[in-house]
Amino acid sequence: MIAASRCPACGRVAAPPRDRCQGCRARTDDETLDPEGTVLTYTSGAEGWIALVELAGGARTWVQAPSEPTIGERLSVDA
Amino acid sequence: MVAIRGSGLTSLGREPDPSSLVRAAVDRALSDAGLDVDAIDALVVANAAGEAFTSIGNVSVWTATEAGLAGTPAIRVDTGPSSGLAAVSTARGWLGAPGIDNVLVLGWEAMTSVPTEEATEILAGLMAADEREAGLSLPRLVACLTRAYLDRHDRSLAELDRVAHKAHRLAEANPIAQFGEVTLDEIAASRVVADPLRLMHCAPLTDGAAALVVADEGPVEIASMGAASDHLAYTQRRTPPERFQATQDAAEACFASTETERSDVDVVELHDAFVSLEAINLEDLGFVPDGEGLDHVAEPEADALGPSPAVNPSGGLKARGHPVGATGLAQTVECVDQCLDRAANPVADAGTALVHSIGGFGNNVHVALLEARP
Repeated sequence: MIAASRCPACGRVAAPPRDRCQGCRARTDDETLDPEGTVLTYTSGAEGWIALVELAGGARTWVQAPSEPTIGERLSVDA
Repeated sequence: MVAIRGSGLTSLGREPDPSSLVRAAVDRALSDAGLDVDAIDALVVANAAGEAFTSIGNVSVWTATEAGLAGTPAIRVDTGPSSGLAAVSTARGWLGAPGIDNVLVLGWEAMTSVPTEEATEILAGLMAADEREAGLSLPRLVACLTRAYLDRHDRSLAELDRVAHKAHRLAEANPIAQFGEVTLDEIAASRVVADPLRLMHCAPLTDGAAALVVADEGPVEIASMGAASDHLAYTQRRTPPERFQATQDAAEACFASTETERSDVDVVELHDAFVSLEAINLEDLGFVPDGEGLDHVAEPEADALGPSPAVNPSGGLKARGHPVGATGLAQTVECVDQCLDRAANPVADAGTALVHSIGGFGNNVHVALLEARP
C-alpha cells in the first residue's frame, strides 16, 4: 500500500498525501491506496518511459516504466 | 468602449538585443496610432523571463526608459507565455483612471542569447517543482496530453504533421515570420523531442516585441475578455488528460459577457506552442466538437485557410515564432491586422477575431474577442 490523503469535505484523494485538500483547502485525513493504477497517458523520459497513472479515488501520480506502456494498462507505483 | 488605437510588431526570429526590439515595436504602434510618445499616459510591459534570458532587471522601468517613457507609470505583467494578453487585460482595467487615456502595452522577449538547454530550463520554471523532479519538461507534459488526445479520438501522428505543414506554409507568406515552408518529409523525419512529439511539432525559441495603444476609441474594439487558471501540477487535475479546463473556462467567461457568439468569429489566433494544441484548443474554446479539431486545422487544400473560423493565418506560434512574453500581443496584432484587412494572409471580410493565449501547461489562459468598428 502507498501513503495518500483523502479530503473529508469533498472526497478528493491525493498521492503523495497533502495536509490540505488541493481542491477545497480542508484539512485531509490519512489514507492508504493500492499501488496499482491505470495508465492515462505517457511519454519518453531521459531514460525509459514515464506514465501518468490514475490510482483508486482518482489520485494521479507519475510512474517510471522501463518499457513502453500502453494507455489503459495496469501499472504499479512500485514498478 | 475599450479599443486598440494602434498596433505594431517586430520581425520575429533572431535579434537578441532587447533595446532595438522595444524601440521598433513602440515606433510601429505609435506610428499606426498617429500619436507621439508624449500622448502615452501609462505603460504595461509583458515579459515572462527577462531577468533569466538577459541581464536586465526592473523590467518595467528599463522598458519605459528604452521606449522613451521615463517618468510614466509602468507595470510589468508576467503570466508566462500568456503575459501579452494578460497585459492587455491589465491595460483595460487601468484605462479610465484619472489622467489615463492612452495605455501602451508592450511585450518583449529575447530568448536566443542563451543556449537552447538553458532556455528549456528557464521555461521549465513554469512547471510544478515535483513534476520537474520526476523528470518531466514542458514538451514531455504536452507529449502526454497529445498522446491521450490521439488515443481518445483515434487520430494519427500524420495529421499532426499536416498541421505543422500548414503553419509553415502560411508563415512563408508572412514577412515577419521566423520560418518559411518545410516539407512533410522534413517534419516526419525531425528528431523525437518527447514521444510522440517531434522537433517540427514544437514552436521555436524566438526574439521579438509587439505593442498596442489601448484607448477609449480606435478602429478595433476589445469587446470582451476572459481568463482562468488551473492546478499547477498535471497530477493535481481531475479533468480528462487530453483537455485544458482553463481554456474552456476562459472562453466561457469571455463569451458570457458579450452578445457575440462563436459562430460570429472569423479568425482565431490560438496558442499552438505545439501543433496538437491547435486542434485541442479549438475544441476547448468551443468552436468544434471534441475530437474534430484536426478535421478543421489539418490542411484541407494546398492554398486554403480552411473552414471558418480561419485558425492561425499568421503561421501561429509554431512557424511565425514564439517570443513568450510578447506572444499574446503578436497574436493580437495579427487579429487587429485581420480586422483592418491588412494581414499577410487575409481572411475575407474578417470583422471579428478571437485571441487565445496559454501561460504554462494549460494554465493562466487568457482569451480576448476583438471586433472591427466602422
